Order: sequence, then C-alpha cells, then structure tokens
Amino acid sequence: MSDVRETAARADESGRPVLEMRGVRKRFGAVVALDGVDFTARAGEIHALLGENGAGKSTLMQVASGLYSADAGEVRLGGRDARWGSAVEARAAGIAMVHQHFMLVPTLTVAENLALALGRRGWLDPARLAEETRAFADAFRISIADPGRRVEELSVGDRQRVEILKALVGDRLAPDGRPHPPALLVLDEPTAVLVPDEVDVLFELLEGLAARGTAVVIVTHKLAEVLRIADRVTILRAGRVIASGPAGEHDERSLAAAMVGTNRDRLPVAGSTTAGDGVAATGARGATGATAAGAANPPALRVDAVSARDARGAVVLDDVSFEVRPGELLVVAGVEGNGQGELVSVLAGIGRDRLRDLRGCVEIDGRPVARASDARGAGLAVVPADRGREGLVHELSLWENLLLAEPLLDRAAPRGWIDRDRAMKAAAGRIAEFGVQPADPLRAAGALSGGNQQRLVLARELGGELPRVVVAANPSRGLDLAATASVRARLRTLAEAGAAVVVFSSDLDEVEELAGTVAVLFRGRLLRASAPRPARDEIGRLMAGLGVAA
Amino acid sequence: MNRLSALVLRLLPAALAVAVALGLAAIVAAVGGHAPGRAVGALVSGSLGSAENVADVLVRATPLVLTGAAVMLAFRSGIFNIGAEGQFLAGALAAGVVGTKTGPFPGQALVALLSGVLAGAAWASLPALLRIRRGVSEVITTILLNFVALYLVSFAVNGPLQEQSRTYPQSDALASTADLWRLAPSIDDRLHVGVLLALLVAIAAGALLSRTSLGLRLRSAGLNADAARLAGFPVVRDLALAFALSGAIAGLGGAVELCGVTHRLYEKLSPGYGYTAIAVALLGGLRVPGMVAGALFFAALGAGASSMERTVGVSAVLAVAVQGATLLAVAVLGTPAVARRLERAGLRRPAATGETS
Repeated sequence: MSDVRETAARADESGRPVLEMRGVRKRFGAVVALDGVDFTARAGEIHALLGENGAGKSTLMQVASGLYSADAGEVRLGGRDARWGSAVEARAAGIAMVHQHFMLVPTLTVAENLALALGRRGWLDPARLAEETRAFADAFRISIADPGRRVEELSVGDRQRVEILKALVGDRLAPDGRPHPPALLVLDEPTAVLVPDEVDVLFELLEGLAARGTAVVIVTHKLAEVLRIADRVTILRAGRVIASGPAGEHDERSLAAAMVGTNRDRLPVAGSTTAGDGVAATGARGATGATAAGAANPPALRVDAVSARDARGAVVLDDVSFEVRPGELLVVAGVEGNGQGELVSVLAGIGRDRLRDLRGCVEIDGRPVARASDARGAGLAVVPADRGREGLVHELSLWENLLLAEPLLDRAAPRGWIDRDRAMKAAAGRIAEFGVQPADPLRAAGALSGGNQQRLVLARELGGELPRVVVAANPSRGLDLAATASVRARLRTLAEAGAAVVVFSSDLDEVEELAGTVAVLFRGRLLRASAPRPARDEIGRLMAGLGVAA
Repeated sequence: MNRLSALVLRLLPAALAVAVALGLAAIVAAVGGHAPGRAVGALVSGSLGSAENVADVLVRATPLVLTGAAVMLAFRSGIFNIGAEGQFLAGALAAGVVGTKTGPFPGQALVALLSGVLAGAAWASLPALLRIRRGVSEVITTILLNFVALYLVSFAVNGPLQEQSRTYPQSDALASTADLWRLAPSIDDRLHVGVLLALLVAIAAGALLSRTSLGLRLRSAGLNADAARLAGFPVVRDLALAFALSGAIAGLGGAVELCGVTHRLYEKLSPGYGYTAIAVALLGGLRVPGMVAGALFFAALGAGASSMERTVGVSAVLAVAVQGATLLAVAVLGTPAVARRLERAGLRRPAATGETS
C-alpha cells in the first residue's frame, strides 16, 4: 500500500505543501492554546498530529478549517493566504474536517444529513437521496447503515462513518456529479470509536486518498497507529511544537516521551503504583488479581439470563449471564453497538427506562437491582458510555456534578442542606487529583472539553471510597496517554482492593492491558473465549463474530 | 474572584439594560415634544419620591416577585413554565372561593392563601403529568392552560361567584377576616404582609435550589433526566415536584394579590403578571437578588409612569415601551457575542458559570 502511495505522490509533484501555518497563536481568555505553532501538511502525505489533552491539536486544526481565527500568524492553503472568514469558506477551498464531536443533525436521516452537506435544495426525494448516499458510500468504500435511518438511532460507530462520508463528499462535486477528494482532510481522533477491522478499512481509505494527492492530517494520541500509517508526525505540547519530522525516525517510546515530557502529574493511581510501572507490571499483577480473590467468595455482581429488546423491537441483549466476585476484573470486549450501552443500563438499574421486554435479573450482593437507586445504594460506581449525556448535567457546576450519585449527595447533605464550603473544598481536591482542566469548581460542566468531562465522571465514580461494584464503559475514551494508563491502573487497583470490576472496551490494547478475565459481547450475546485470558487474535475474531456457531 | 464582585458582574448586563431603557424613554419623550429630563425625573420621583410612592412600588412588586420566583424555580429546573399567569389566576380563584363563600372565621386569610398554593400546584400538575407520561412540551400546555384559567375566572365572576347584586362581573368583597394584615396603616393603607411573605418565599426558593440536596435533584431531573436517573435520583417524583412547587408559588401570588390588594375577584385581576414574571426572572439572571430587583424596577416603572402622565403629560403607555426596551436590551446584552466582548474587556466572568449564586 505504501509503495502505491509513494509512486502516486511522486507523480503528483510530491511533497508540494498544501497547508502551511506559520507562527500561529491563539488565546482563550487567560489560556494560551497555541503559542507560535508552525505546521505544514504536504500533498500525498499522511501527517499525524500528536499531543496530550489540551496540547492544542484540535485548536490548531480548527484554525486551519476556519472554525477559529488565529490571533496572530499566517495560514496558507495551496500557497494562497487563507484566513478563512468561516468554516464554509474553508470547505469551499478544499478543507474537509471530521470532528471528534459529531456534527450531524440527529433528527435527520443519514441521507438528509448528506443532502444538507451537499447543499441540495428544492424538492428532496427520499428514495433518490438514499440512492445517492449509497453511491457515495460505495465510491469511498465506507459501509454505512440504512440511509433512511435517523442519525440519532445509529450507534456511535455508524455515526462516525456517516461523519467521515459527509466530510469526504463535502460540497465539492466534480462536473460529472462524482465526489472529488478534498485537498486537505483533517480527522480528529478518528479511530476512537472504531474496532480493529474498521481501523484497517479507514487506514486503507486514507492511504487511497493520499495516493490521489490529498493531504491527510490525523489528530490522535494513539502511538501505534501513528507509526503504522503516518509518513510524518508533528508533536504538540502545551501549545508549542516539540518535534516534527518523518515518522520513521520515531518509535513508540520516543513519541511517548516527547508527548508527555516531564510533566506526569496527571491522573493519580490509587495506592503506590505510578502510571508508568502500572503498565509494565500488567501481566504479573493481573495474573494474581483475578484468581487470588478465590472462588470461595460469593459473587458481588450476578447477572442471570438478561434479555431485552430496544425501542424498535430488535433483540439487543440475548440471555446474558455472568458473575463477578469481589477482587475480580471482567473485561467485556466488543465492537460498539453490540449491546454494551444496553447492558450498562441494565447493570445500573435504568434498563427499564429505555429497553423493552427486559427479562432476567441483576443482583448486587444477593439483592436484586430493579432501579438505579438500588444499584447506587448497594455501592455501584458507573462510568456510562455516553458521559456527556448520561454522566453529567452540563448546566450544573463541577462541584455539583461531583455529587450526582445518591449516596454522595446524601452524605454531603445529611439533613437536606448541602454544606457548600465542605463540598466545594472536597470538589477542588478531587478536581486537582484527576487533573480536570480548568480546575474551577464553579465552572459549568458543559464548558469542559470531552476529555475533561470524562475525567470529571471518573473523579466522581472512581475517586471516592471503595465501591462494591464498578461498571465502566470505555473508561479511557478521549483521555491522553498518561491519563489512559493511570485510569487502567486505577481500575486494576480497585479490583485488587476488593471491588468487583466490569470494564466494557472496544480497544484491544485496553483489553490486553487491563489483564482481567475476558468475555466478548457480540450481537447481544456474551461469548466466552477458550481461556480466561485468550490471545489477542482470538478476541479479535470473537469481536468480529467469526468462530461463532450460528 | 469574590462572591460580591461576581454578583455585580452577573447583574451588569441588566444594569446596562436599565440605563439604555431610561435613555430610550428620554428620547421618546423628547420626540413627543416633552422635556426629556422632566419626563425621566417624574418617572423617578413618582416611584421613589415619597414614602407612599415607595409603598406603592412595593405593593405593585409583590405579585411580580412571587410569579418571578415561580418562573425562576421552573427555569433553573429545566422546566419552561410559561404558565405562571394561569397558576396565579387559579390561586386567586381558589382564594376567592374561600374568601367569599366561607367564613368569616379567624385565620380565614391563612386558609385562603393555602388554598391558593394548592390550586396553583394543581394547575401546574397537569402539564407535569403530560410531560412525564406523554412527553408533551410544557411550553405549549402551560400557555394553553393560561387561557383556560382566564376563562374559568371569567365564568366564575359571571356565574357562581358573582356578587349578590349581580351588577358587575366580579365577586363580593372578601370577608374581613380574609384580608391580609396591614403592615403600616399610618404610611400607606395598602402595604400588606404579603410584601414580606413574597420576599421570604423568593429567598426560600433560591435557597432550596442552591443550597439543598432536593434543589440539586430538582435541577438535575429537569435539565438532564438521563444523568439524574443514573445517579439514582427519583426523577419522575422530582420533576413533578418542581412543576408543583413552581405552580404553588405562582398560586400563592394570586391569593396574596386577592387578599392583600383587590379584595374581590374579577376578570382583569392580572395585567399579565405571569408573563412579566418571565422577563423579571430573566432580567435578574434567574437569581433571587436580581429577580427581586427586576420586579422592583418594573413595579417602579408602572408607578412612575402614572405620575409622569399626571405631571408632564407623557402617556403612561411609555412605561410599557420602556419595559419592552429593557427586555430587548437584556436580550441583546445577554447574547453570546456580546457576552464574549464584555468578557474580553474583563467585565464579565468567562462563559457560562455554573448553577451557583
């Protein structure tokens, strides 16, 4: 694949700069997001933009795509001055952007969203729109769900593919009505919600686009992916460029060192373990973690024959049963949309509110969990899949969001009155401990970035006293390298300290690193592997639905 | 930043808006051929010039403070209760039934106020039920119920509650035991205990929202039911309670107005207090001090306008125009673009600060 790309790139005046940014500065209030950044993306290359949360990656790309204007510095596209008045202008000039936060209209169908992006006017025939959408999807080899489905009904993974398709199609149609690849394609954390196979498909797609002369920029903090696909890499830290050059000059270790720098005071790990040796010691400690608890303990969490349908009547959970003992860590691997969100809801006691025909039972310490207050009362900590929607109330301040769990609120206000000073002080400590930025307890949660919202949820659910049961869906989504390592280490530590921990993950690295007992959720069914800790290949096959007796 | 300066900054747009509005009043007066200075002077002295005038403003502000508190509680709980008007009327109607059809007996005023509270809560419970059970937007149901309440009052004063003499579409005067206490008969005979009650209720509503666990639950349930449910909060109960509390406060407003000021039930009992309340609550940034200040400002405009008409000859309708101009100015000054500019000039805290006072 890379040979093809190189030949094509050579043919296409290889290395011609498409996007050039010089000395770009951007401030938000007192925060300097970009401090004199130089960045060049060349035709036919795949350029990885690396950095931790808040390093300025997204801001830089938003300046490039016209969402923000730079306070100072120069932005040139194809040699012309390009200080966009708006994102629309930037798009018209050939910059396509796939955002980390979805920019689709949820109440419209897939086809209607695409029609919107294409600027279709007048009478819109649903059948023709759907046909057109399918044609575009085929042209770009992106598998999308039924074009007639409303976006809000799609899984996160499906939504992202629609988002990518929308960006690729843009409003740049060649005269024959065929989509015309953009000069610059920017993808912000594109693989965060994809499974390994889908990542492969995406990367093939990106390489194909690069071969046709598009400059592709991926904003990421997944190092392995950078080394796999990127031709060049630029590393940002605290708004400055730390390194920029061919990807071949780096390995994971050097990239990680450059990204993180010396500043490692991020998410703390409970106990004495630090983020670094937590990763190194995974195998050894994990091996004892699950078994040491012993089979003598009765399970803290028992799930018995849970089945359910979604609002449209499709089976989303199919006879799921498992037990987790105190001190045990169960990792449920699976591609997004195979029942994870639904199972989390059921475990948290809110299944009845969103599912139909819910059968079976969930027990914590032998007591049935019918409502969320039962689960919370029994000592459940839950990190939901959609933290922005289910984990936080955006209008409330950080300190108030840190009280959004029945037992926490009861403790903060034993007689109904909240001791504000005490709650605020506790919140400030928790915010500092988990590195939520900006660290102002009075700030509204909705004003935080995605990664910081995740930190806030983690701070509430995992930061207090030892929970009895922990249910965490994609706990490291949106977090940077250091924070990811420490949240995984914290989950292991909680298990070692005696909590029953269930982690849902679509990231094979995470599954491996957590080193718990592994099961796979596929189309609502819980599949066991051949061993408690199966090989990576086997997990991948199970996640893809291979090797399952029909 | 300390709390006082934070409060000042939060109210800054409102203060600017008031200044802009008074400026507009002066311009309109000048265009009408009147001395702008005299017109604004009359507006101010008519509302603040004497103890009686101040008492007049306080009495006029009372229904606005109560309906404003009702709207504040609802809006901060994520409920768009546009029905304070209807809940106010329902409260007045219930108090009117108690005040004219029962008694006289000691404590009748208290019973009348309580029945107003219950009627207001009941009136708001219908939209609550429809939102919780059927997902019907309360914006529509509460507005529609305003008309139902209005015509229900109209029916009452033309039918079962009409005065014995059957002359006017109004009820008999309340039994004297249903009248509210006068606070200072020597200064102004109209200054009733409801003025204090309104202030206390508004403060209590603010404290409930900001300082109690119940308040946090109410806000969570209305703003993000999914998150509140996951937290283990009783979302349905909390949502219903927020509706009922908001309606109860507005209903109390109606009962207080009836027992404290009008002493009779009639169709035009409310000149739209429940609607002005939305402006009052938003003008005050959905916080008690600002909301009370907003109520006083609108009450002062009303009181001052009559005096301006008498002394300078500018139509009292101008006061309505000033009210409108104030709202427009608040709306403009509150928009994100303007807020960012104020923020950049260091005049305002960045972005949306949390739900705290």
